[in-house]
Amino acid sequence: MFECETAEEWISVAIDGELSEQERVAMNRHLVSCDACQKMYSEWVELSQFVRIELSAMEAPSNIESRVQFGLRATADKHDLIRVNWAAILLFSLLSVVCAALFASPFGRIAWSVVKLIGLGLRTSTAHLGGWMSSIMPTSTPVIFIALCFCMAGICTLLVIRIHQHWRTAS
Amino acid sequence: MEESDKHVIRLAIQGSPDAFTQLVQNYKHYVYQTAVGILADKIEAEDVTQETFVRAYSALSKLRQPETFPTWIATIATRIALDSIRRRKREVPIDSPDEQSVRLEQPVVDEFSKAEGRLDLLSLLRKLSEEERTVMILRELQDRSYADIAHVLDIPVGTVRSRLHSARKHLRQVMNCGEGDKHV
Repeated sequence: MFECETAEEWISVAIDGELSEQERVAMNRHLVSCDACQKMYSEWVELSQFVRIELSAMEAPSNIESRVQFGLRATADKHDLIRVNWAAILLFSLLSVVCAALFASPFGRIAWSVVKLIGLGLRTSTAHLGGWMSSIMPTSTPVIFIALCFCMAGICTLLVIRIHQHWRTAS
Repeated sequence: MEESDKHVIRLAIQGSPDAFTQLVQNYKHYVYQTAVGILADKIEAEDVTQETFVRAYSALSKLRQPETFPTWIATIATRIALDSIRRRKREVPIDSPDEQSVRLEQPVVDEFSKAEGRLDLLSLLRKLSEEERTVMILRELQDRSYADIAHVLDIPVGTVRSRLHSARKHLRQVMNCGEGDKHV
């Protein structure tokens, strides 16, 4: 026998049109003979309509569009910053590799010979200062050269970032 | 959906900023209604609405069928609103005094507005649990089927059915109590 407790559950599903044909027939048969369930059905239909109407009447505040534009700009700036950071890392790596390649190339050997000559000159001229500089100069010369290469790569990278920021501000 | 709406959506998918601005104008109320219905909080709903459109802008190029835009953006809004609820729960435990003080800061509105004698939906929705409110909004505002709701919320269809039943029963009880008080 179809009970009111079952009908109560099925009324909610019936309002949403989700009952199977068999369930709908059984429920309708019960509603015909049960005033309480009929009343509940009407009330729940009204409740559903009330919720829909009241919700649909709510309006978004007038500043939502400007808030969305602000949010889009903030997201674009964040993505841009990530892109610039990655570009800077790649550029720095590339310039370091280029500098290292130059160092290993014939041009690098010529430059290294020039540096050795300069080092020799400095060692001779600093010999009068007690010799401590003359002792460290030969061993530190390659380190200084490599450090110079990285510094140049870093300066070029920072310059590119600065130019990009200036261009972004100008546009 | 009208052909003019589909045209605007297609342009927005292709990257037209003006078309996207038009979409924001056309759908801001719908997204806001979804957010406010799930959260029962107008201020949080504004934040969710903003975030919905910002996320939609990034993901719009992946939308294949313009006619699915309303459902698509409503799904985004629903998920962001649910994330907001989870964040709220992590920040303020359910039974802590802090949550009570946060709730007290909300403007207190009676279920019945005395001037108009009308029911205030938000106050009624606040009486429901978050789960009940969510299925209610997905069904009543977004007109989704039980299967669709189950898919969006990742719950069984039977759970959707029982939550909707529970939500309606709960709302009806609250409204009946309110009407009883009104007549006293």
